[in-house]
Amino acid sequence: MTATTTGGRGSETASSTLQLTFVPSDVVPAGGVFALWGTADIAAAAAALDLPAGDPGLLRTVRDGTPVTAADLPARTVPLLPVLRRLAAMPTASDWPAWRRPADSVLAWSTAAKLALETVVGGHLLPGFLAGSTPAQGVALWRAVPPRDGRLTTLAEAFPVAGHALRRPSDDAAIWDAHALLAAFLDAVADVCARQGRRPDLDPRRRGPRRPWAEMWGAALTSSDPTVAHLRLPAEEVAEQVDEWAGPLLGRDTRATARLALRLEPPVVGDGGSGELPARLAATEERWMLHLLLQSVVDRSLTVPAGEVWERPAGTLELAGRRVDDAQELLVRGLAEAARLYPPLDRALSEARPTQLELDAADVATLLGEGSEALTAAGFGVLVPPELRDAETKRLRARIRIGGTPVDGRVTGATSFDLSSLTDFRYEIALGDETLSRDEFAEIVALKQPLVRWRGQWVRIDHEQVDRLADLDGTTGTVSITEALAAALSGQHEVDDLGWVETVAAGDIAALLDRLRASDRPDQAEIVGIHGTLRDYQKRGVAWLQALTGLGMGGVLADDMGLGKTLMAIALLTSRPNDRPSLVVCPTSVVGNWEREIRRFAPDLPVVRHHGPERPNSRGAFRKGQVAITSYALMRRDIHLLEDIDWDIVVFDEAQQIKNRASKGAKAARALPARARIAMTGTPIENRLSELWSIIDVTNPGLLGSQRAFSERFAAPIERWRDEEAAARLRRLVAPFVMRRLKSDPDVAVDLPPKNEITVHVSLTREQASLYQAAVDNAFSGGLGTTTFERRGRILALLTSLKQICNHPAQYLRDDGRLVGRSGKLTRATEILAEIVASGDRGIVFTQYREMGELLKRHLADELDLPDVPFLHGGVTLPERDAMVARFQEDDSAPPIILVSLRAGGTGLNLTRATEVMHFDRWWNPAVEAQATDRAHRIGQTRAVNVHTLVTSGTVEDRIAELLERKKALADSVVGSGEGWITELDDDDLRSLVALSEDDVEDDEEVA
Amino acid sequence: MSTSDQAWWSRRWLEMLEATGAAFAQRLDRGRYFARKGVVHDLVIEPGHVGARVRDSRTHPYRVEVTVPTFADGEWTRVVESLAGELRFTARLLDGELPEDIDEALAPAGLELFPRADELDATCTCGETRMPCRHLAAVHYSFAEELDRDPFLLLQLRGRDRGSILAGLRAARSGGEGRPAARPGVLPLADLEGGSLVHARGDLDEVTVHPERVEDPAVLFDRLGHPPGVKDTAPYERMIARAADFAWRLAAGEGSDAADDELLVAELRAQRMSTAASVAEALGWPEERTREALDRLFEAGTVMRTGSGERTRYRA
Repeated sequence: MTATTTGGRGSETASSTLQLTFVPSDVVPAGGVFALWGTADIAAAAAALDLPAGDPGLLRTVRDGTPVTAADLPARTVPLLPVLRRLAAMPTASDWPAWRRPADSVLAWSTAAKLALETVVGGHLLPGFLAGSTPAQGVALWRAVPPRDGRLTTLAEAFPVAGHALRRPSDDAAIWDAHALLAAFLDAVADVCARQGRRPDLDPRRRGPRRPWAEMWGAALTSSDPTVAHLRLPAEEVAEQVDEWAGPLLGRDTRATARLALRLEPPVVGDGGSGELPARLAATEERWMLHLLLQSVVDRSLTVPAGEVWERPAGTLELAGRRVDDAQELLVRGLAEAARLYPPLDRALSEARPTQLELDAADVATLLGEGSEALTAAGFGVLVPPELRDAETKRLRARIRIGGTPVDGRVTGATSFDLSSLTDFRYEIALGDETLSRDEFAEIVALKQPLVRWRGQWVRIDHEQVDRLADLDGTTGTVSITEALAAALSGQHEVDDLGWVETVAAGDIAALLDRLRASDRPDQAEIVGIHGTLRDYQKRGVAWLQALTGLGMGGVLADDMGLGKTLMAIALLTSRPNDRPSLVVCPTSVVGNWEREIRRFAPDLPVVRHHGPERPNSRGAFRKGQVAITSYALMRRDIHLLEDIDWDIVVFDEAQQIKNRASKGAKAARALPARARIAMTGTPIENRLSELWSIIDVTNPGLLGSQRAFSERFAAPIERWRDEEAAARLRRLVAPFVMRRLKSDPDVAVDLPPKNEITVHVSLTREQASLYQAAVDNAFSGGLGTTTFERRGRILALLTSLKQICNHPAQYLRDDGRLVGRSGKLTRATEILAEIVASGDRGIVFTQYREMGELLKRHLADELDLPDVPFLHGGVTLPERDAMVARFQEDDSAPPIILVSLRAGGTGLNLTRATEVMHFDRWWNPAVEAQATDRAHRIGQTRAVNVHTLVTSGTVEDRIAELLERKKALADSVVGSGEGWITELDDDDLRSLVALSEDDVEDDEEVA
Repeated sequence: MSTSDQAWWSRRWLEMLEATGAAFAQRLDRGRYFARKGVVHDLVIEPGHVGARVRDSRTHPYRVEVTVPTFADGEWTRVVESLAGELRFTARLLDGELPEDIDEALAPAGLELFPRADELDATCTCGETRMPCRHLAAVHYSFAEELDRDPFLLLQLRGRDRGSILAGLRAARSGGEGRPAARPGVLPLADLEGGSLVHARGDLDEVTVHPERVEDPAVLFDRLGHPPGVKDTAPYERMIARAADFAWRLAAGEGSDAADDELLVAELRAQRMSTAASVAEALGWPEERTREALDRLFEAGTVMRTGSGERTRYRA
């Protein structure tokens, strides 16, 4: 059998990854435990998955090999509940980044856990009783009524053997099969939930006096001591009676590969009903046929008519490649049970070999309603023609039409929209896609039929609902604009006793939505005061931002890295009226960069940095039309000042900083008053729903409801249970307010240069600044030397020191201290690389220093939660190097970041899988750098590459970068591969080159 | 075994016995008492014969034997044919029950499943002249108890076991024998293929899950009726509802803190006063997390805290 794991190239590591196996208790189900095994350091592996370490022991399992033999392997056992909690929250197999995916046995038990919880949530559990070793007592326990729709069989068949490789008690030649162990697990989960998580504890000391059976049993079922003592009848008999009672639900075998299914065949009707009036009911005169079938549980499309089953000798029937044991018995018992749930079937039992049944309209209506509900819940197939399937839209139902005129008379088109103002909605009655008028509704209802032919289709009418609908029709209510938008976008509005009611937009809400949807046209963008040209997709982004903010609404610009979000935000700011100040909040490491970008692209836009000990602490300091830039740390610190100002626009850059709703940062963000708030982020927030909620709570408060409601309605169904409908609904809901383009989008890629050069300016920390200044002073105070040779040597030595300081003090000082927070470059680089990893891209980081590479290796593995970051440098042997490259290029489970030393050059390095390249430090020789970059970007590479070059502002790095850029001729004349050309400069030029400009040093206070 | 719990077929058997002699009511009573006391041993039920030993007050037990005429092969064929006429009968048999209208079903075959009293031939070593003696009565009552649990004993007594009857019914419907199913639940090591035990054997993501809260989680009681010995199902329905709530919190992840807090407080109550470490161990949680949660509860005023450092103790 082929193993069809998703993305399974990491098979070499799989054998040493943590495995999980359930070990049922032989006393009471809730006492079952999980065994963690299969790797050398089990406790560490458990901690990595957020599981308790448990107690050490041995697992009665098997050893892989040919043949497979019995073996007792070291394991740690953990009680059921903590593992259950973790498994229920685990993402599904395809949602894990390949390098962190747990073993298949863990994922399989995660699915089993979710299935078990679904079973208990639905109330499918029964109390039971097991006789003990003495006749007068026994154990009360719970058993699950497993789902009978074939999912258990599908899961059991897909289960990795390691997950159920528990040897049977006193049998060393056999293990539990998956189905049996899953059944035991379901019972354990039911038992533990019914006991509210209490672990069973048979404690004879706590036994009380004899009480009536119902009381004793009830108490034992819900407490931690499951023992029932003082029985009047022998325990065996009690157990038998309880088993008999539960028999009809528990007796059925869930292993069955096929089941009884009923197929409804409508009569062929002449089309008497295409007019406006409902047809006379052809339904009453016609007869419907119900066919009896055997349906495969694993592939629902495969069926066999009952007639064929009756004719075949037992054991010879196969469906979907699986043998159907006792096919006739399946049908017989199925019919008997189904007849209890849907009485019209009883007639079939009077025949010897029933194959079909005639039904009248009333029977059909029952089948389509409660009959089909009961039958499918009991695990029978009910096949109904598409036009009669219980899609909401085919029934007669209530619908909300939202968006009449706003209650206070304000009309769309104003420059600012008060989102809290109210609009009204009304209830209507819908059938299919149409709205029924009062008269039409009355006519349909007057016919008093459960099934009606209307405009050429069959329609069900639930007459119990009809009165309710009649009452609702035409009634109205009000909601805020935000709620109205949310309802219109998601298509649902929650009403107290009706639950979620289908909603459509009309009037000004519909007009508003149309405006939003049509807002991203490039010609709509108002570009003002920008020095530079915007690409088409950028103009679309600006148009969209302007439309949103024009309406007083916020949004999230979530474009991929390198597409120019900063520029788009600046274009928004320059187009705003000058009547208020605006604020940009960003990570400390890019405050300087923002200022530079604004000065570069919008030189006429007044910009000021709100930072440093001299920063203002009064409102008056923020002038109309000015843009203030501050860091998240300072926003938190100075919130009392900032929340008093009426801002025009507040832009939150790298908005993942406010992803935790409860954090001070998020609270502060919500407190800043503004006409509109815009968030920017490069990480795919559609994949992190709690992050999404938190950010939208800042930009569009109220759109997504409360956090708890959001979690129940969207987060859990999408992240834990992969509910497609919920995912689609959420996408529709946020679509007008989130814009995300990828580098690979066709209309973006066409505008992008194949190599997108991004210069990232970072600042020195105080520590770095003082080291830098000291190095400069030292070099010049002693004189640069008398001979050319000496001079050259000293200059190169100075440059090396300065470069190392700009990289990280720990590299320069060769100390073993803390890495975090001591280097602006490292901070920013980590932020960028985190975004790259989160987006699922791969990147190369170049550095010319081996020590810096080692430093980065350690730091990145920790900070980015990667198992390891490979470092390719001169000391790596050729075969090792080839292996590293091969893994990077081909192995999905390999870390997505690779460090490469600039000097490790040479041929044979092909890292085309990377779409992001970072130059951590520079070799001031353009040819060498370009060659390094080109390793990633090669002919044959079809995707655009972002090249991030880190430059420390106000230092030699900055100046040389500028020099090389401005004086192209100089750059072209650089000969050879060294940096010696710098030494040709005279002393004064040199001095200005290396001088440190203090403006650009990070404020220590900000590192918070 | 009270009469109200008896299945109709065991009651019928006893009715047949009781009809033989109202005059012997006293002996029948005694027999019933004996059977309850458990003095009937080594009950044997075979085609055509029921036998047992009855230990009366004396040490030496009496032997009771009852013979019952069996159906001949030809008669069995007629039985199976009659039963095959309606699927309903097979359905009941598969459920482990005798159809109530079995007499009607077998009438066309001219047969009765239940033997008449005069068809039975009974002996007992007690020497009592008039039958039934109390020992025979005891054996009847014991047999009736067994029959109540397994009505197929009657069929067996008449000469065929359940399996062969069901096979006969199947054959009557279609023809031919079948292959037996494999032993469920057990997977021999010999059937395992080495080398890929850690890998899934199919697509795990194929199984989709959709926990959904239901209005009335205890609707199962409507289908099954009252559990044995329980007059008021309301407390049991509440247990199921609370189990569903607990499972929902685990499934949807909301308020798991609240569930944890409940557990913590419950455990503290059970331990009276203890350290975070001991509570953590009892619940199987990491100690760090337990301490944090306990401190949080202390801040919230739900829990008391004394001591410091390693000697910090909490109390509910």
